[in-house]
This record gives sequence, structure tokens and C-alpha cells, in this order.
Amino acid sequence: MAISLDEQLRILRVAIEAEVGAPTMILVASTDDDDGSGLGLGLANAFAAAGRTTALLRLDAGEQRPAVALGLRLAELKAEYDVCVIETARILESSVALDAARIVDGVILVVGMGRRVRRADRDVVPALSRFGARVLGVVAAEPRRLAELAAEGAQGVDIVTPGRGSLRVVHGETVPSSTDSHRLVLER
Amino acid sequence: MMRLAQVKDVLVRRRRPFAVAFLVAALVLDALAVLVVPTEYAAQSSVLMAAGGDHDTPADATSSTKPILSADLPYLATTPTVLTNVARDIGWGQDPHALLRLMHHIKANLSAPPAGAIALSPGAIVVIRFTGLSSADSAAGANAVADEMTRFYHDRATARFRVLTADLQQQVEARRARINRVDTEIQRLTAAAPYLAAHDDAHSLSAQYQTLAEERAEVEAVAKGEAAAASVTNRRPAEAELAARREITESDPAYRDVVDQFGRDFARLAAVQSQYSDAYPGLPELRHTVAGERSAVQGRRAILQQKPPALDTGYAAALGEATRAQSVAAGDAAKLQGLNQVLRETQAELNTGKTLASRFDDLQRERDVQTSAYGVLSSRLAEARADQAQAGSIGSVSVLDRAPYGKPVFYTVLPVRIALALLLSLCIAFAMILWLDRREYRMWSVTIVETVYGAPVVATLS
Repeated sequence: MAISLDEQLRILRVAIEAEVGAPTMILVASTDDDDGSGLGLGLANAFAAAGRTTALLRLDAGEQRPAVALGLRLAELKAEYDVCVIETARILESSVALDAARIVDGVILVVGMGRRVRRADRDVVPALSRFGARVLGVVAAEPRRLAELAAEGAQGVDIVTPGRGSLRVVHGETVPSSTDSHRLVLER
Repeated sequence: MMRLAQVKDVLVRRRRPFAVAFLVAALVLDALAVLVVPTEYAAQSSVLMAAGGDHDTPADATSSTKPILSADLPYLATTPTVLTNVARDIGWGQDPHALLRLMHHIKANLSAPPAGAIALSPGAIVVIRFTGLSSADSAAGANAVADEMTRFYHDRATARFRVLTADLQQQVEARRARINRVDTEIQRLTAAAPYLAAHDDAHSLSAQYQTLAEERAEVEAVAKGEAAAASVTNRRPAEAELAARREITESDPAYRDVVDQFGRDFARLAAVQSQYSDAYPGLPELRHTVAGERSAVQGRRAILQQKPPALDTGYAAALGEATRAQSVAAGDAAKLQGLNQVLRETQAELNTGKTLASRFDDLQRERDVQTSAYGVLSSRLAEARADQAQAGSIGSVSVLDRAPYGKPVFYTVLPVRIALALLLSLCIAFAMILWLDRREYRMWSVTIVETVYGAPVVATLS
């Protein structure tokens, strides 16, 4: 009997909570742009559906930010929300993402099934371990499922941007934004 | 198993140039193939194996010398003899490789009757399909296979029974000769000892012996009685002779006078001797006179005794009775002696007959055995001849329908060839591309993901 996508996400959420407890800060990362950004949004929606106050933060691979400032900001988010989901692609190419991986409670790697194996796939776990990150595991997802999650949009999730000083908090998916992160959300 | 989305992803997004290149190449090659491959024609003939050749039919269930089953019939088409003959008929090559190609060609186009049809239907039909580059060639091939297969079957079927009937005939003749020899021996024994063939006890040798023994006992008893009577009767002539001689003596007057004188003188002598002594005078004369008279009596008696008593009737009768009794006793003795001789001969025959009877019984038993075997062999011979006739009959295996002409094979017609070639080229091209894509190391399974990442997969979204 096939399990629905929502049920699969609920199971994943329960597993994460059992592993790291609450409040929780999870980094959903990938090594390839093809793996998409749907899992972070879907997982955030799952936490929100369970009654957790949830924030979704998207980090661009090319973004440069001092680790101290990022750490402070993430600490503020962790204090403010029950669950904070950080989403990034090409994790090994972003120093900000690596810093975030070291700070968060756990890292979930997402991989699209059927794509070609890259060298970064073999290096990511040892690299994260060297940085002191805690890798919880890998989520193997069909690309179409990730696309479906990205298309659903945020459901009761605060999407935050990593802007300096004042991070703008947007409730729900309908909030317009000029930043790259918001643009991605709105486009999907 | 690749899903349609994955195939589309591979063909359209990742391998589009390869897909186009392979497709074009396949189309070009297939177009050449379409132009080169000629249209084929197929013709069909059929062979019928009528009922009566299988064990399945109840009428043949008792026969142990049946020809091949109808299920074997299709395999006759690929026997070397049939292949050679078919190749000769249609002008096919006669070398081993050509015959091998012909065999595969026939096998691929031969339809055996279904097993159920063989068991249930009264006959089985083998359809022979032969393909060629022209209608006439295909028809000739189909007809040649049908003809040669039928001819070969007839040859083989009758050949088998020819050998079988010859063997059975030889065995039957051997048995018959043996029976004749035994019969001759039995006749010889019967002629030598007729009683061996007599099954009636009244005429058997032992019965004859018994009868003779009883007769001998009776004759012996009669002979003993007659002998006793003869011995008694034999004494009568002597008594009669004495009586007759006494009568002769007593009836003689001279003798009576001499006896009377002797009696008186002897009495006087006795009286004198008793009254007087020897000194009595005249005693010696008296004694002398008595002695003379005694001599005279004896002399007269001797003379009378010399006279034959045959004239005496009593003596003659006694003598006749004695003679008759002796004759009867002699006859009984002779008869007894004859019976004893016959009994001895019969006893000898009985002793000899025991050996002959044993031999006679052995011959009778052997004759029974040989007759029984002869009957079985005769039955089998008759059955084999019937089977041979049936196998050789025109109705058992025959060409049911000859191929008049060949029809174009559907998949070799030009439009169908083009469509099939197009489909084949698409399949080959896509298969090649997917195979090439598959050769890359991709995240096809959870195991691969865990191996690559070195971390467990905690969830799958499928």
C-alpha cells in the first residue's frame, strides 16, 4: 500500500524529533542544484502542521556572512521558534552553509533518485564530520516529489531571510519579497 | 525498473543528441534492410494420419505390434531420408550444411497436432508450411515434404512388418516341423505298441494281463481237478485188470480142479500134521503131493495170468476212462502251459511298455507345448500381417491437401516490413541510449545512496 507524501513527511518529522528533541534547528542540505529545495519547505510544513512554530531559512550557496553573526542570528531564531529549518544547496561550496551545519542540531542530506553520482556526494559526510556537524541521515527522494513539495508553498511557516541586522519575517507564502530567497519561494 | 519519466528524462534531456544520432542511423540501416529483404511466399500442405495407428484407439489396444504413433509423424519430416528426398525434389543443395538449413527450415514451419487432438480425435493432421521466394517454390516445397514424408512413412511401416512377419513365419515353420517330428514318433510308438494309444482300460495291456491271469487261475484249478480225477481213474484199469485176471483164473475149470485138489490135500496134510508126528507114514508123500499141487496151481495161475484181460468189459471200460482222463489232464496241462506262455509274454510286454509309455507321455506333452506355441505364433503372425496390411493401406497416412500456390508472408510485405523496421529501429535506438545511460553510476537505489554517502537513508519520498 502506497504511503502518501504527507505521511512520509510526518514519519520523517517524528524521527527527527526523536533524534534531536526540541527546540530543533535542522539543516536540509544537498550537494547538487538538481536535488531542489522542496524537502526543506515540506519538512517545515510538516512541523507547522504538528503545531510547532516553524521558521524556514534559505541560504544561497554564494552568500558570504561572518560565522559569528550567523550564529547569533540562528540563536535568536532558535529562541524564537520551536523548529527552525535551514535549507541550502551545494553545501560544500558555501562557507555559510558549513558554518550553519556546525551550529544546527542536525543535518539532513537530500538526494534526488536517478541523478548521476558526483564526487561531492562521497565527500560531503566526511567533510561535515570534520566540521563538527551531526549528520542525521539521507533522504532519498524522487525528483517529482521534491517538485511537488516546492510547488505546494509554505503552510503556516515563517520564511526568514538572512539579512544583516533586521531579518524580515513573513507569515505564510503570500508575502511578497524582493530578495532571492523570497523570489524562489514565490516562483514555486 | 525505469519509469516512463526516467526514460523521458534520459532521452529528451540528458541524451538527446545520442538519441537523434542513433535514431537516424537505425532508420538508415533499416531502410537498407527493407530494400534488400525480398518478399517471401508461404504455401501449406497437410498430411492426415487416420485412426487405427495409435494405441489410443480401442480397436488397437490388444495389438502389440503397432506402428509409430501419430505424435511421431511430424518428426518424420526431418529424418535424413526425407530431407534428402525433399532436397532432390525441389533442387535444394545436397551437402550437409544445405540439408541442415533445410531441416531447420522445415522444423520452423511444421505444426504438430496438439496432444489432446491426437488422443480424442479419430485422426491427426500435420500442417506443413514451406516458405520460398516465389509462390511456385513455396508450393513445391510444401508438397515435396508432404509426399516424401508420406512415402517414407509407408516404407518404414511396411518394412518393419516385413521383418516381423518373416521372423514369425520362420518361427511358425520351425514349430510346425517339430510338431511333425513328434507326430511321426508318436505314430511309430503307437504302431509298435497299439495299447499305448488305447485310452480304454478294457483294452489296455494291464487289463489283458489281468484277464489272462484270471483265466490261467481258472484253467489251473480245472487242470488240478482233472489231474486228480485222472490219477484216480488211472488206478481203475489196474484194479479192473486184477479183477479181470481173477475172473479169468476163477473161471478156468482146470485151475479150479487143481485148486480144489490142492485144497483138499493141503487140508489133509494139515490134519495129519496136527494129529501125527513126522513119523506118520505117508506124510512125506502127502507133503510132496501138496507141493506138487501147489506148483501146479501156481503154474496154472501163471499160465492164466499170461492171458490178456482185454476181453474183459470192465477192464476195457476202466481202461477207456483212464485214457479219457489222461487226455483231459494232458489237454488242461497244455492249455495251462499255453496260458503261462502268454502271461510271460504279456509280462514282458508290460515291462517294455513302461518305458514306451514314459516316452509316449513325453512326446504327448511336447506335442501339447509345441501346439500351444504354434497357436500363439500363428495368432501373432496373423495379427502382424493384419497390421502390415493396415500400415500399408492408403488410408493410414496420406497427403490430405496439396499446396496449390504460395501466399505472400504478411510480415515480408513491403508496408509491413517498413512498419516493422521502423518499430525495430526505434526500439534498438532507445534501447542503446538507455543502455548507455544505464552504464553511468546513478542514484538508482537506496543501497547505492547509502554506499555513496556513507550514511543511512532515514526516509524515502517516492
